[in-house]
Amino acid sequence: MRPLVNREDAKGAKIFWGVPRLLRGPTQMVLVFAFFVSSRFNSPALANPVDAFGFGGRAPAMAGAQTAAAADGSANYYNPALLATFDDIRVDVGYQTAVPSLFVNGLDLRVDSSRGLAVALSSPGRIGKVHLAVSGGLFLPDQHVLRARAIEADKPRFALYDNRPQRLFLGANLAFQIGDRLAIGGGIAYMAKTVASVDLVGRLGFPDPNDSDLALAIDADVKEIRYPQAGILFHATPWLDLGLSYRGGYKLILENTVRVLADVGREDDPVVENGRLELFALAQDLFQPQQWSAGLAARLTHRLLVAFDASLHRWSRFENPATRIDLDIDAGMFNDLIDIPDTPPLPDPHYHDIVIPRLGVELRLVESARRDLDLRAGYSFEPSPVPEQVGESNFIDNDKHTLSAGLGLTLRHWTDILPRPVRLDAYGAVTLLAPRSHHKLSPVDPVGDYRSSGRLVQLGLSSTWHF
Amino acid sequence: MRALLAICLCAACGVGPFDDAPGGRDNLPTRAAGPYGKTEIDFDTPADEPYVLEDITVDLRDPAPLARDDGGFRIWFTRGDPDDGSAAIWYAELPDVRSVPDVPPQLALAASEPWEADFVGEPSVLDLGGGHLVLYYRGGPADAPSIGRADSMDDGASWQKSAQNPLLDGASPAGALLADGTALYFVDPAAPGIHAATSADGVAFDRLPEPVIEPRPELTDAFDTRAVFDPYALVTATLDDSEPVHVGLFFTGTRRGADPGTLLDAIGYAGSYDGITFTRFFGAEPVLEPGPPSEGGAGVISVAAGGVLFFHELKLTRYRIGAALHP
Repeated sequence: MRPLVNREDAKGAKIFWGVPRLLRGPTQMVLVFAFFVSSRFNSPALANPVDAFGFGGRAPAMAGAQTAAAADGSANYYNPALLATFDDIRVDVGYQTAVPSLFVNGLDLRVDSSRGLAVALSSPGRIGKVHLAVSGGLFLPDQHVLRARAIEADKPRFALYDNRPQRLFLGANLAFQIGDRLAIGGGIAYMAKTVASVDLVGRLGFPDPNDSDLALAIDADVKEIRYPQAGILFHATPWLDLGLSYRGGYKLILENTVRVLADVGREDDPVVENGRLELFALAQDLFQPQQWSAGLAARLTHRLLVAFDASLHRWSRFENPATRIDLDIDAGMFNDLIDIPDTPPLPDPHYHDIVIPRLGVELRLVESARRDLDLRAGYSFEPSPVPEQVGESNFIDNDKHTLSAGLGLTLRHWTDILPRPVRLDAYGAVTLLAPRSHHKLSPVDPVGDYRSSGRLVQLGLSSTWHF
Repeated sequence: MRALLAICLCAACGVGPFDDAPGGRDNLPTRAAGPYGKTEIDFDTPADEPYVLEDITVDLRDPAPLARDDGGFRIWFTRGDPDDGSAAIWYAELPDVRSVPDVPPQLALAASEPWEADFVGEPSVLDLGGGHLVLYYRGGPADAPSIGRADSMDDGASWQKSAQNPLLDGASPAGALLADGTALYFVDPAAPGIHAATSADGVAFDRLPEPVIEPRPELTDAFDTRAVFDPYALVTATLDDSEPVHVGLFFTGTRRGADPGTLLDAIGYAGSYDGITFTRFFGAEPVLEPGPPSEGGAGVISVAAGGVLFFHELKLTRYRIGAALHP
């Protein structure tokens, strides 16, 4: 058995590879996997802080180049297939924070920081001759489990940092090892959306509103949303792994309805009988582009691992997130006096697809029977999917350069209680937003020209416990 | 190690190290076009909001502001005697719009030429840098006004009137430094609308044949159905070399008041990239919350993520200068 290069600690471990006889070939396994994914998860994925800042303590230190290199619970996000390479139960617990300083015309918009607890549980095992792993990952923000807000179309905002990092990420995955060289994995990630309605039924006092007699009913549902993620890992050579991962795209729509069904006027002599007002508001609160990532992990020497990813993000499907409002009024004999103009169509934001390259390295500085010390670094470049804002919209975004570094300390035989290795990871990263100018075509644009820039400082600690 | 464990456990309990309110809404960019709202009365401040300059014995009108380095304001204005119709240009400084002047009102420029006919007012001040200020002003009676120029090389401490005065027939001049010269917006008692003239040296002006802003009698709800006047040009640099400046033109418009026979003034806005062709903003509405009382004579400063609009309005038989803020 040749160890996969990203498996960090296979010492003394028993590896169980193989598949049931009926599913021996990779084609059959892919079919099973495809059924597993497609039978449940037709809806696409959604944005979260993990998209923006990474997951775990090791991955962000390597600029997120983890499609073929994840070695802890972060595989739940980067490539679930890697979970199948684990040989013991692993629990990851960490804390991550990202503090933005985002400027327009040199002034800080004071965009919220993103921070929270990152945990993962990965449990490998065997069913018959099939080596598999089940795992779950969670990023739980400690400010907003979920924040939803719709903003006017022309209100300036940093499009990729305003709302996107303010919600949880929860994913569950299943991974299989197929032979010596192939592993596949996939699963679902969960999110919630809200659908709310407010109903007022009864009589609306007129001309004295205090004479109203209305019954109020509020109905708000927090509905589950699922979206798929999947990955493949191919062990190409003893020193090279190749990975491919997929995350679906997703739109989170805020739906709010206000409905008034009432007579209008005095109780004994209403001016309008059975009047009706319905206001239906739809807003795209969040969008996550469909993502395809291809990566490699090359152990160039015993001590040096180099990882590279290229990710395609399909931002071209992004729609204008401003609120669309439908208003319907039935005011009886006064209907002729009411003229509600149609809501004008929202302009296309014209986002475009982007490819993000990521490069990460991991160098083992110290290696001994009791402890290892790894130094990590990375760089990524994320071009902006957002065009120059020349019209009414003000979706501010810039090209982003991220430089990262981190340390990983693995302790073996630390205590009698924890005979298996414990790894501690720490990282820091800085994302620099390249200055960008926006010139408005209209001389009466209320916002006018502006120049955006900024930086984000990311810090994190994580621990991985083997059992 | 135990500390790390403690951090992890605290985080697991949802105990974040910080807490703050939802953000991302501060310091949003704006062109300072509006809308503006008058400063509200605050009994804890020394100012008489929304007024920043007032004198019950005279009319104070037509504020022309420049920003002070410390965030305060320098304001030139017309100080008119309501009894004899004479006027002079005075000057004061404010630390902010909720304080009394820290440089009390003082005379800046008085009538001294025959063509000025004991009236100089309606100032417009351009800062050329290095302490060189240019003041365009109206001289002469309301029915035959002319526009003059004065220069200060000591940052407004003293003024020297141009030997070429009067430069142009008209009133209410508003100077604007464009990329290739100076534009002057003004009104002509003989021709409705706001007119423009351009100059390479800021002294010899060529008047454009047509007004750049006209009343909109066809738009019955508009604030400027009957007249437009009192222009003020706010010039800002753009981020496009092909259109290097933007001119925001504030002006006063007049419409009928709610009571028969009354008129109501309000301040509106139009924008331009060439200083000649203007586009209206805000549809039929003014950019300062509409009166009564009537407001006019706008002078605007663009500040960080906002704007400060100085205006005059009539209160208790005297014109006073007030302030409004955006956003």
